[in-house]
Amino acid sequence: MSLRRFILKRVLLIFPLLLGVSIVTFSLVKLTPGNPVQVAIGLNPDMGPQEIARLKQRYGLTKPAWQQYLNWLSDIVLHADFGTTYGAREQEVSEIIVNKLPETVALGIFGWVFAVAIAIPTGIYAAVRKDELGDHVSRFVALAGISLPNFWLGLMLILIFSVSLNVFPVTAPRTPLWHPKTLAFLLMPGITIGTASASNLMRIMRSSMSEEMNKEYVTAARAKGLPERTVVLKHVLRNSLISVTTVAAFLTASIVAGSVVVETVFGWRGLGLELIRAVRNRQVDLILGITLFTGTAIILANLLADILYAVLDPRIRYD
Amino acid sequence: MAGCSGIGGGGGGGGGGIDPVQDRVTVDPADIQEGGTFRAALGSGVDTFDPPESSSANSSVHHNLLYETMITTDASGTIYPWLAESYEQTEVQDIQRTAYTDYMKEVSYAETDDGTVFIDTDQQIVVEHPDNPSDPSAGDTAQVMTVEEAPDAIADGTFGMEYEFQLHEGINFVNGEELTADNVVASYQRLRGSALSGQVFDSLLDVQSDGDYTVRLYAQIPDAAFVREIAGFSIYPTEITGAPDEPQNVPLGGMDPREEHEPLGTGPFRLTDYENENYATYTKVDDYWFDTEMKDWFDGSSEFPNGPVVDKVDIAVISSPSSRAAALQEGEVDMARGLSSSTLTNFQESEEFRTAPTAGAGYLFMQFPVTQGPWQNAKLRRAVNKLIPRPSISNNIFQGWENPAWVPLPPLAAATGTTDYEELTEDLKPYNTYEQEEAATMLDEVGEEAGIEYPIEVTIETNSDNKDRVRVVELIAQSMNQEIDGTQYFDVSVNTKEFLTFVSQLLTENYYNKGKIAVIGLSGGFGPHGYAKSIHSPENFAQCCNFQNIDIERLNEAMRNARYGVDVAEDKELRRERYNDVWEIVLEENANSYITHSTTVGVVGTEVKGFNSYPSVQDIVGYALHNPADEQITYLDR
Repeated sequence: MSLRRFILKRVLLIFPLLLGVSIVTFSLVKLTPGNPVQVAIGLNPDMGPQEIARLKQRYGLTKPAWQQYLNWLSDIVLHADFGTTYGAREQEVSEIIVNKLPETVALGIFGWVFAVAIAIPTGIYAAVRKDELGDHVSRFVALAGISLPNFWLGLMLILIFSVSLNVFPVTAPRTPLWHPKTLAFLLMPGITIGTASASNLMRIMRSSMSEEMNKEYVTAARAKGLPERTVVLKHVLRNSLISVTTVAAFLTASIVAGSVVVETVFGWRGLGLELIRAVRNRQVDLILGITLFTGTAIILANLLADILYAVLDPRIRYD
Repeated sequence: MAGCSGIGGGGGGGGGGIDPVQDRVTVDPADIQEGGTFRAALGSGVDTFDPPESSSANSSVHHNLLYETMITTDASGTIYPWLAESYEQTEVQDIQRTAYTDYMKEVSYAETDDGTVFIDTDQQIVVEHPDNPSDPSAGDTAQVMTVEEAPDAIADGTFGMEYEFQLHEGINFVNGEELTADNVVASYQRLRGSALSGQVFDSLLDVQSDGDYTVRLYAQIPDAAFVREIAGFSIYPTEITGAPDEPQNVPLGGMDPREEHEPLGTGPFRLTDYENENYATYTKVDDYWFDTEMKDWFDGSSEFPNGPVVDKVDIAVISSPSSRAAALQEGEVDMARGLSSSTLTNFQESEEFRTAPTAGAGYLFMQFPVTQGPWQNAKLRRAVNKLIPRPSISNNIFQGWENPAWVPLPPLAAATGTTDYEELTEDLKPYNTYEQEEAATMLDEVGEEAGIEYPIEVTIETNSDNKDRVRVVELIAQSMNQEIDGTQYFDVSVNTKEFLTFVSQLLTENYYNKGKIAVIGLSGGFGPHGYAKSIHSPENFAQCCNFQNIDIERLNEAMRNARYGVDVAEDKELRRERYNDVWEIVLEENANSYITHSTTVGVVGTEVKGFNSYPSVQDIVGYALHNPADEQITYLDR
């Protein structure tokens, strides 16, 4: 299969995937008890039948679920309209996503950079020192990193660095996103969101390096008298990075998914926190909009990983 | 504390209520330092800065800094004229809502696609005819009087009560416009069709101006709670409302910086910086209108400030309670509320912080499926009520921050809700004391009389995201499951659900026939009526908060007699006596068991001087910063 055909096939697969995501999400939201009108009645028991009927009509809640789904989907496809929020103030879902996206992206970049910066050198070190104490310690730390729940790690960091040591503020500073103060605040959530990914990446780096180091070209390079440092960093690392690069692309997916928990713990006002709020308030269009958006991001990240892998290792296209 | 001069003799006035503020701190005006920014943390942001479209308590905290109403209250609920110089009840007539029949018109019922039937009119309905069909279908007709016909009825002398409010002259909105009677009328017209219209037009007939500074409020029928219920709505300038009976300049929901309209009021602050779901900053209005000399009810120090003394207020949104506590601990905010009981206790024990508790307006209650199986039996319900270990719940779970609900009325509403709160407690406490043996005797009697077999299997449900509440439910279940003299009367299991899922289920039409017991919290106010009506009245739409079809005629009648009618509207003492009967019936029938009464607690650092919490969260910041009725002022010593 040619690379072009391979990419085309992968791209076409996105659409049924997205449709599936939207159907599953819509169904789950609809199956969950509660809708915005019930939220409104709960807050304001004196609301009369007129107001309630008006709200139901306004939000299209009187129509069957399948019709609501089709209306929602056609608005997106035909008008790029993701709907609006309900309640005291109606807001465009697309506007919310656009406004909140930079925060989540910034957090994701921190997590990604942290994961790669930690995982690559540690993975190399563990592979070079395979089965020695340093390797065991690295693997133990990696295992712990994978096992620790994000929310626990985040709370511990707050407790240690904000409350006890007073190094970082508890609340995000009111400076622009790319201001040094904001970036400094992002260190803790960045570490939290990147830890599990770093651990995963480190383990893959280690095994990939170990595998490469046992290959004949490494023995040949050593036999030629090349220094070990050159063998490892120039020859082995380059080949090992093929699999690590693709895994790093997959990391984007786990970082996007992890943002929900991490943003809630740190009160970081990105898409993850917005999604939690939307679920609490049964903001159907907003839940669907954010889910579809993040689902698309994850699918695209996976697509990128697939393509990268196919470019770097042509054998994959024929699988 | 300033006393109440009883101005106007308003039927809604509290008068001499119990001060709910515990360990109140006072400030010597000579010590006050002006300036600084008071930083508060709340759990959620502002849904809208347009009050008619909001029923969120946290939004009201913001609204109360910007907007003002014709009346104000102290912490015990006593009413004082505020934008109004005075008010008085000028007329009361003994009429029922049927008196409006001649002004009613016929309107058809319509049906939404999902079968909800409603009266099809764009006009705000004021009175519905009592003879309208109870189970209407689309195409049926209803007799209604709308806001259009209300002035005609008043002109003909058909109304329940008339109140005259005299506004202060020379009060300006922050945009420079002077407050007049037309602003009041237009602001009330802005409530038409709003999210809050239901709680206005179930009592209000109309609002009319009489000259520049005189406003008349008309009630549909004689209503002892009218002033408290109706005169507390915010007043806005013409820039927002337009003139009376003209299209609004800013549509409902539009008075909001996110809609590019500055929120405008007469309040002591104006909004100067805002970031959605992040923070809002307010700056003190330089030429704020208030002066203690304008108020003849003010009997405090002549040095008492004529407005808040802090320059700015900053309210941050910190959704996690633990993060709010940490932010307070780190000095990032000056005041936080909504903290867990154990966190409050930690702050209480610290010398660097002060907890400011005030008896609150919230209550936790347990609701029985009163129309199902053995739960139809009031004696059985009373027996279960005696198995609730209220002191243990209060002391061990809430660590003393919530109080046992010995009576169905919190001290906050005592002024108008009983003749003598201590006596009421003494009389009614036996219904609510933990008495295993007595409960067993009652259960044996019920078992024999009604042929009930024990143990009765039942599930108690509550929301899972409130850990204290879950522990309360587990403790009650444990108590009910205990064997008494070798007999196990109940086999109770506990089921918890996420808050909105739980509430949504309570609101479904058939929850009442599932046979489950629900435990949930609600919030009342200074008036006693809400404490009985919210959970014991079939009048609540969709049976909200009354999901098990509680409809006890003698209780309904007692509630009506305590609030409505010329006699109680004119005689406060009679009204209090009538409410004594209401609470007795509530406990006799025991459709709901009141478990605890809440405490509102703001925690502040030591740099904050004079802070006391308002009973209701809605004014926890505004009250603390300046309320002459209680000589309440907060300043910053830093």
